Amino acid sequence: MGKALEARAVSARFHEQVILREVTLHMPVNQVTAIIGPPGCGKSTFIRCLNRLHETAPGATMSGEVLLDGHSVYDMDPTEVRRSVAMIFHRPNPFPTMSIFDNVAAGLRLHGLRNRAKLAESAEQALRRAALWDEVKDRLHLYSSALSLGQQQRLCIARALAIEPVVVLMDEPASSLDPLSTLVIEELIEELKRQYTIVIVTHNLQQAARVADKTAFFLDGEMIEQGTTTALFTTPQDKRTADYVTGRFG
Amino acid sequence: MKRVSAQGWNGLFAGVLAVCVLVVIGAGILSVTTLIVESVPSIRQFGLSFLWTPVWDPVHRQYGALPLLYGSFLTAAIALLLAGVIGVTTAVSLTQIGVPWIRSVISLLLEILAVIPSVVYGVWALLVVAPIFGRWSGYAGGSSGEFAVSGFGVLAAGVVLGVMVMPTVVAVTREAIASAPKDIAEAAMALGATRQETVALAVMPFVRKGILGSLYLGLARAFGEAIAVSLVIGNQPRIGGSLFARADSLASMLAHTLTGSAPPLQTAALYEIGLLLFLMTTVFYGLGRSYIAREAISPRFQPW
Amino acid sequence: MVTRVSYKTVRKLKNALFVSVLSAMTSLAVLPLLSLLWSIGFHGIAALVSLSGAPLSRGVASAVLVNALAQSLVTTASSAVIAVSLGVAAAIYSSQYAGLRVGRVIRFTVDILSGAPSILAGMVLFALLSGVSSLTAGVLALVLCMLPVVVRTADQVLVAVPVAYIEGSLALGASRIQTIFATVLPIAHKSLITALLFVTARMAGEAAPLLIILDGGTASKGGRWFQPLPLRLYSDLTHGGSFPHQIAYVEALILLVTIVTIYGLARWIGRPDRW
Ligand SMILES: Nc1ncnc2c1ncn2[C@@H]1O[C@H](COP(=O)(O)OP(=O)(O)OP(=O)(O)O)[C@@H](O)[C@H]1O
Ligand SMILES: [Mg+2]
Repeated sequence: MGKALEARAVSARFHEQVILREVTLHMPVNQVTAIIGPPGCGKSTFIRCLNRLHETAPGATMSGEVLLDGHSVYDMDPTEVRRSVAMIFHRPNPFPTMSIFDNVAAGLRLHGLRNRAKLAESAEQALRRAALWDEVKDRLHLYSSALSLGQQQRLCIARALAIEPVVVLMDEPASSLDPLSTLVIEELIEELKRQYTIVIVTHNLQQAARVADKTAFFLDGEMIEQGTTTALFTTPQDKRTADYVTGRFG
Repeated sequence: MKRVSAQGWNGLFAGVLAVCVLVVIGAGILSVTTLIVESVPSIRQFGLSFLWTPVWDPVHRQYGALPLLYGSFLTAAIALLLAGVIGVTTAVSLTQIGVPWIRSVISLLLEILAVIPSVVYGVWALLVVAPIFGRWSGYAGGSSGEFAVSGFGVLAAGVVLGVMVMPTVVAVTREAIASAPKDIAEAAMALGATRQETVALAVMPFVRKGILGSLYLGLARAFGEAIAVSLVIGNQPRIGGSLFARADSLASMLAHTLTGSAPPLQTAALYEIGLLLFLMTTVFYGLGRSYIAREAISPRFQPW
Repeated sequence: MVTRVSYKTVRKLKNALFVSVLSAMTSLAVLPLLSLLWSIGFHGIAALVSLSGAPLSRGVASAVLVNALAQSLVTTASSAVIAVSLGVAAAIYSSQYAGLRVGRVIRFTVDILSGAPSILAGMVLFALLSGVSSLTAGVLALVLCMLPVVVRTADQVLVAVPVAYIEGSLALGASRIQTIFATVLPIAHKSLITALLFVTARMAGEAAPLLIILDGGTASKGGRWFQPLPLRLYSDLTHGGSFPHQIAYVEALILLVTIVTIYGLARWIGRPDRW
């Protein structure tokens, strides 16, 4: 089961530059929340605040609250937060110095699992959930670079799922993939939302419309409008949202 | 008419520049040739055995490079051990932990460390470091004879060299870390890795070459350092077998012996030492550079 | 569950250990510099004060010092002028004219040469001018030291000028020379000056290449007239003098201040701002 994530008045900056202004957004359990908006509006920064990855960048600061199932993640140990709130990046980033198996096992090992049989079992389960098992089961000990980009992205998903998170954040997970791999990922998201709460940043409005239950529109560091995906796309309340979703700018 | 003359100017300009290139390269070739020519008498006299003859004895006109090679390698080894351990960890700190302003202050200090001339290091080595070692080995039992008094010897020279080489190691390693892929490190952090785990898992695998390169560059620099070493190594070309014993290195020998009044064979032997020094630094320097992309280091700051 | 909690603690401890070891090592890296700056600053200023108390020695010492400093400035400046003009010209050739293969040959040669120990330059000049001690030989030795470094850094700065600007200029009908002087050098001049000042700062403190030429010469002539500051400092340290150590500290302080000033100037010129 996933857990709900809630951002309250989240602001973020790099040095003096304000990137996010008081964003409040509820991301409901076992639903897909899409975040859309023009480039540079702070979408990535926002979801990086959710798993406390933002604060690791030089000059990055944030304020506001992020609640995971009602508990503030900024009161927790950051490594524990990131363990519960997984993240998939816009470019597949498997560990290039590790085998496919070791990639999936990396998170488990970090958190102290040493038993080989259990590692193998969890890795297989994660690879199955990421819809990759059948493609790699015979070559688990090859380097991850032996896979295609789309497979690498699913490997990253498997790696993230292996440590049993409750929320999965995805930053344009299909933006560097071909249409077919994109389709596979989208089907996967559909599948995953039964078990996880999913937040996905996307540039692709059709993609948001296809996969998301809820959508939020960001502009210049502010959350302009949020609502069910259907509502946001068909009856936007704000003119800027309307302009964006109808392709008049951005 | 006009066009021809413009082309003529261009050609002339390019020609002048090409001559400058030839002068630069020619000066290099002339230098190496000079070293070879000047060492001919010594090469004739001693042949290859020059390399492993364990005595350097001007009184009996017996010259061998082994004691100097010994001193060079031993001091360089101490220097690299120090600079390697401290330098690499410092480079990791400067990229991975700490408050930004402290990082930039330390970076600035290390850059200054790199521009301090070796003769100033010499003052510090002679008047600060050596006395400390002298006292220290005195407390330690004073069994090491002359070292107990002056502090001169392999260890003092190695430590000073280590300090001199460290900025190189830090600068190169830091660049290597900075050019390691960020997204891989973020992948590790997103899995809940601590700083230490992130460094071990997702940073270090990408900087091994850079570290190796920085150590080779440091080695080349340590070998070539004459002034500061000659002030504290003790200037006695012999194989003492102890870290506390006096010794001499290739470059240091050149610094304190070659004064123009030496007999011809000794001068030739010294030039052969110079040639040897050139070959060795070139090999290590070349090895170092082969691990480090030219563009990886800003032209502003190249401490070697 | 119990094992997991304890493993979490282990990880945290490991990370804390990691951070503290790194901090300790970093302090260790800075320690020698602080010791050096402190000892030379402290003793240098103390020696300056005590020397200025004694009128006779002050006269002698300051005359010697001023002389050495002046000679240093003259040698460094003249060798810098020669090495920079030759070296930058060569770098313009290697970055703007040379084809791929020629460029690679030049870069390789210059790279190898710039890694060579500076003391060898003195030996070469000493042999070529057959033991004649002179200002010229000293300057030439410094030039020999500096040249490869100047070519290498200048080439690197010039190569970094985006090809688009160069092509843009050529496309407007400018000649090669016009492109170099109106486009390439103006874009690169700041980094170029900074890089060259760094090289000069390092050369200003070089004693090794001068050592053999000038020390050898003075030994045979019995005079100490020509001794730029680094060399004078070295011989004070080795031969001792009438003001043992004190004068060395003063000289080291002056040298350090001079070089750090050039370095600071270089950093100031190269300070990051809009391109
Ligand atoms: N590490 C950083 N340091 C300084 N500024 C940054 C950093 N990362 C991002 N920014 C700035 O923050 C702003 C928002 O960046 P962010 O990556 O969140 O945008 P985005 O909406 O994800 O854009 P895109 O759609 O292009 O991915 C941008 O203006 C960017 O320049
Ligand atoms: Mg983004």
